[in-house]
Amino acid sequence: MEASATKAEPRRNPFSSPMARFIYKRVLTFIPIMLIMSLLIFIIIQLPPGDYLTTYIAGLKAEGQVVEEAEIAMLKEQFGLDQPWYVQYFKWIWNIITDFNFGYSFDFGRPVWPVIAEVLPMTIAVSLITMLFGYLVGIPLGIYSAVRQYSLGDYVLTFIGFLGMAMPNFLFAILLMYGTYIWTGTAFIGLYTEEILLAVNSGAMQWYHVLVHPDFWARMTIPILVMGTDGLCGTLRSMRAQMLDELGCQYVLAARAKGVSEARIIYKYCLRAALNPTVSGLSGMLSKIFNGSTISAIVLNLQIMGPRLYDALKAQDMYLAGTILLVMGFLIVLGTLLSDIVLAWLDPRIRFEGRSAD
Amino acid sequence: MEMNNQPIIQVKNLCVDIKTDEGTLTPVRGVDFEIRPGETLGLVGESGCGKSLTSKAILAINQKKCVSSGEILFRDDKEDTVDILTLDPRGKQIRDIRGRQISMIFQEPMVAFSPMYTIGNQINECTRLHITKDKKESKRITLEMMKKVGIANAEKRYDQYPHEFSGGMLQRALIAMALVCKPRLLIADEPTTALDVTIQAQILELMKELQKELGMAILFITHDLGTVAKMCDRVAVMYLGKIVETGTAREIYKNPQHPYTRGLMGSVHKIGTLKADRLFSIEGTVPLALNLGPGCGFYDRCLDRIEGVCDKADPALTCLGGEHCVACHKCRKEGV
Amino acid sequence: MKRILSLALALLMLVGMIPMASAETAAYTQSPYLDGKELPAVADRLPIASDVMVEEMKEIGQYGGALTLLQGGSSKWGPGKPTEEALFRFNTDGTIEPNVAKGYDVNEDATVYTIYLREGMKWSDGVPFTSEDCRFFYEDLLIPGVTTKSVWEAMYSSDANGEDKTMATLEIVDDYTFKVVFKYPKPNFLKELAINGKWFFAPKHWLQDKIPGENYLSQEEADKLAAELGYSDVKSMGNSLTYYYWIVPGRPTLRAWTIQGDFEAELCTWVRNPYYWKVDAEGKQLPYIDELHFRRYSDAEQALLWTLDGTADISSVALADVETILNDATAAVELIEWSSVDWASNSIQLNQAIKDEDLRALFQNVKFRQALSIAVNREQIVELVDNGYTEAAQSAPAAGAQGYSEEWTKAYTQYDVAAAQALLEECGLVKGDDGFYYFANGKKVVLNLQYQDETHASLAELLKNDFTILGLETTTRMYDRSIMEEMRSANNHEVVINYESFSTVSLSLRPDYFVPFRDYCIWGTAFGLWYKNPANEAAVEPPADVKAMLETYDKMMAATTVEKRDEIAGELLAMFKDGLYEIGFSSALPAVYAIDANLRNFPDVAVDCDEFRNLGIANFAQLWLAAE
Repeated sequence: MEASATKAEPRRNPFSSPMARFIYKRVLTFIPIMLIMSLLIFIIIQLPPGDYLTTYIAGLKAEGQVVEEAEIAMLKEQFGLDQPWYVQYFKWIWNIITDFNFGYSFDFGRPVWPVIAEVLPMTIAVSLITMLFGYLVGIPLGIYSAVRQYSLGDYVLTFIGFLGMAMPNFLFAILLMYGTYIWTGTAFIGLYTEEILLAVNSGAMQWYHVLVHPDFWARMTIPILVMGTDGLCGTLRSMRAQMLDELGCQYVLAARAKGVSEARIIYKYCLRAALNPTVSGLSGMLSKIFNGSTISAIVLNLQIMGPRLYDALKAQDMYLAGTILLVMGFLIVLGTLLSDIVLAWLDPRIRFEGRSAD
Repeated sequence: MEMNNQPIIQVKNLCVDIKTDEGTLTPVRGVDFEIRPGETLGLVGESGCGKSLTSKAILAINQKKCVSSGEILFRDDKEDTVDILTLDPRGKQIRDIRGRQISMIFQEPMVAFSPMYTIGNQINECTRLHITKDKKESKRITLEMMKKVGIANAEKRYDQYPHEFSGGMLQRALIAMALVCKPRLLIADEPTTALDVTIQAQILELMKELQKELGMAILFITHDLGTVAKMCDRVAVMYLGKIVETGTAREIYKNPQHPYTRGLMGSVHKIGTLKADRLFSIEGTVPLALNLGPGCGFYDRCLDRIEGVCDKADPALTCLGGEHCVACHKCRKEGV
Repeated sequence: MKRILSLALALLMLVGMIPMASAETAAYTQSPYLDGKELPAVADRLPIASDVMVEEMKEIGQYGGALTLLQGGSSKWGPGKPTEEALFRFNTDGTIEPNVAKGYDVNEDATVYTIYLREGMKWSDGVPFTSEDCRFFYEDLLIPGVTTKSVWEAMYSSDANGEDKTMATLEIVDDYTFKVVFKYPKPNFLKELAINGKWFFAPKHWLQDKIPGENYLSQEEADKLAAELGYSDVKSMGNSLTYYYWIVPGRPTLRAWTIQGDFEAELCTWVRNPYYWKVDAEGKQLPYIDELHFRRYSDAEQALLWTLDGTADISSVALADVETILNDATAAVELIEWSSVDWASNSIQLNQAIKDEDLRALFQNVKFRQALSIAVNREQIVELVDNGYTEAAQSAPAAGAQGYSEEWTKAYTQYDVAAAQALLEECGLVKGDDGFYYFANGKKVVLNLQYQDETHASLAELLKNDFTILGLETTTRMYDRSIMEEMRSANNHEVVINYESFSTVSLSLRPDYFVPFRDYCIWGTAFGLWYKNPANEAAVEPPADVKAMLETYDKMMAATTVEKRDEIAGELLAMFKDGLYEIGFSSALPAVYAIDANLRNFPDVAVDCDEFRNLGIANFAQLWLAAE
């Protein structure tokens, strides 16, 4: 399925195909990008006056504790905050490259990676579920809206689409939480009921039991609605617009003239073309899955990566914040590459000839 | 390939209305013609006279907002006559006709193919829909057709995408796609307008060859009078949604009767005229097909109009002798 | 008296039981929660009959249930304070009583304290608790710095002039007795220990292979262990295992419950300690409640919702939410009000060591502070900021606290702009044509109000309004908490609203935020630096009245008897009364707790303060949940 190679090559090297060369060149740029990114992240985290220590001491004082100067000096040394920032940065990067050691989280008192890893599964689960909801519901509704343009259904969906995009997530979340409280008498805070939490703590329930538990899904409706509607509405609008464009194209007419059924026209031809902007959006998807939503998650009391990053930034817990941001940056770079590859597969007009075209 | 001279298709009083906010447009206001097996009918007229809508109505692929009325009687391969306008435009019957019994080729081959799939895939789709579901057999048939239309290196081209083809090559592919199921009627909607002159000639040659071989009828829609002369046996001239004159190609060229036809003939550049001579053009433009009056559609631009007659009633198509028919008050009066 | 009676009763019952064969039918019973678990008999788990602690309570309770509490941030004191067990603990009336310790003796000049422990008392893993655990804590953990905290002030004594500060030494008498020996008299030792010392023991049997030290691990071994356990270094391991130890699962404690899971989890469970050393008057081993559940929330609204729907059994409630709870709660909750030890609910402190020389002279002038005080419309603040829940008042000790007087509470609270302006002129300020006041040298007086919580924004606006009417140009600005802290330690703060304001249960025991003997007071940060070291570049020499205050403070700390100390504290309080170091606007707000209506033995009346460990004063071991 690749571009025609009119010059026959002496040896068929799989690594010399245009796509492979493209990927290879892109991957090479990862390293300088990541280094620059890590430096910028580190600098920006350090920019606000003070550091984790000031937050920590302020916190201690708030609890009525008395902190002596000697203690402060010792803590400074313990946290490594007595060195200039470039020394701290270099040590951090060096540890990452040589040891995969991302440093320590001051706030949690533990190495950074376990702190990230423990919320990662649930973050991915919540993100994937809400994202899938957005796509699986948004794409068909968008197609319907386009095919039945100006029908009542189209108007209703368009209205919902705009409403969903305009409504702020946290407001929606608060309304739903309060609404469920009024309705059921129990506040739907967090994803787990007390029974589930106790069972998980005691080991009686494993994570896969949780995923099929009806209470979990009852709770899950709020995040799905709150976080999923954003994606859903965007997808709906985009699909509708793209489909309308495609449906007006000449090749649709030609296909119809061939005797192809309407359904086949929509799904084989139009959909593939209409997915173009959606696929472009995939570049941010990996990073978004990793991070989850932040404000909604705080409002809904979901223990996922977003709030963790937010707290880390507030407290200037720099290794934790820096690592999360670094991973997110990496996922965006990787995601862009993947989305480019998928786009090329989707749309044959995009290929990787580059300047060394045959 | 029966030499049954009954017409393959008869269009009777075809009207196409489009409802808009400003009122109802009537781009096709009662079109009658018929095509016999093996013959080529040219449908000639300016842009906006309703040719495309007419041709698309035959395949029932007009947009939903276009409402067709009248009769389109098609004689299918079982020798049954079916009125296409009574068929469900999404139904199985019409889909069986489309691509297999009546095919269409379009003006711009570049956009007639989906850029997402290979040429082979798209031509093959037609084969697999109508002839056989067997992958190998359908591919063989497709390749055969591609070779027949003159696509060199057909095996390689089978796996290539539309953006890798030149314009002329694409048009050949389009023809292949239209003819692979050996239809009884081919509708060619301005197939050479977008091509350069040398390619034009090749394509037209190809079409003629295939017509002879397959014995199919062609409805050739164009606004290029030169092509008409080359390709068509009979010609129907259309203006503002109505046929104003029909006849054999020879009759129309040699002896145009309707003032519009005469205007058209006069506006073609003829060999021998001096460079300095101005090209004749009919004054005015085609009016919008909205809220048209009772009179002849050409009234405002006609140099031979008769007041009191031509603006009161729409002339009907009357035969002048043989195949030649005209819809004009003046011509009738003069009783040619 | 009651305790002796119950002990006698227990002994009698024990004696009466001897003819009976079964050892299980001793006077003690245990919670059904522990039945079937492989444990020694109850009597063997408790201290000996004469030493077991019998908890006093309103109502004898029943076993069972789980108490759910809410945890908002990463503060480990959330579960720490309610479960804390100190050597000596506070009563609701401010006196102390034995807790982990059985009792004490003190010699005449308060230099030697003899502490008696309870024989037979065990750690939560069943290992006996002895005086060696106390010595271990003091000499092997606290002094060498393994806890990463400095040795408590409570362990130091100084001479009559406040010099020659020396650390106390410990003498072990026997397994259950030890002496704390001071060089100079230390009359308030036990109270200071109860406030600042928190606990004075650690499980040696468990820690001895985990800490660095002469008889313990070498530095390399300790480093290796720290890395293994996932700590960044030995210091943070020490801090976690010996200071914030209660959140380490498996670490033996003396608390009524021990943590089972991860402190950071959404739901953290604590289960009863089978070796808990307290019983009720009927011989039932405490605590009544089997489990503690801490639920984590990330937003204050969630805490409110959980209070409304009954998930939380005890939660702290903001006054603004009281209405909501009364109207909308689906669960049965009761609201309990505890009094606060804040001197005011809304107040400002002027940085008298401010860098700007003109402002410094002005802020140090008590007449200026008086002017500001009477220029503020307190009624407005009470209505708009506190929703009418408070009264107009000056910053002063609350009723029942040492130093309280009605006169003080009302001092300089009248609203009199004209009189205020007269005072400003007495300070040497001149009113300009624009209506604002200027220094004699022509510079305009500018007050920069600073606050670190957005809930104080309305107060800031009202004050700005009042001061502008008075004729002083005023600005307001909010700062992030840690930036505020930075500013304060760099002496860059000016007029601070509601930050580390005056609040204490006893000035003589906790003067840290009042008297500038360290760099803590908002109103005199740089004075504290001077007190420590006059040669410090960042230090500012205090004016005469503050120097007098510091001298009085020294005398108070050197007092040899409790009475003398309280008397000098009275002198200090008088200085505060006259000095207006903090200008207050409205009386302190009570602390409101929402508790499950079925929760029993929760004190209706108490003082909510850190000295009493906030909720800890409720003595959680004696709380119980009645059946629905």
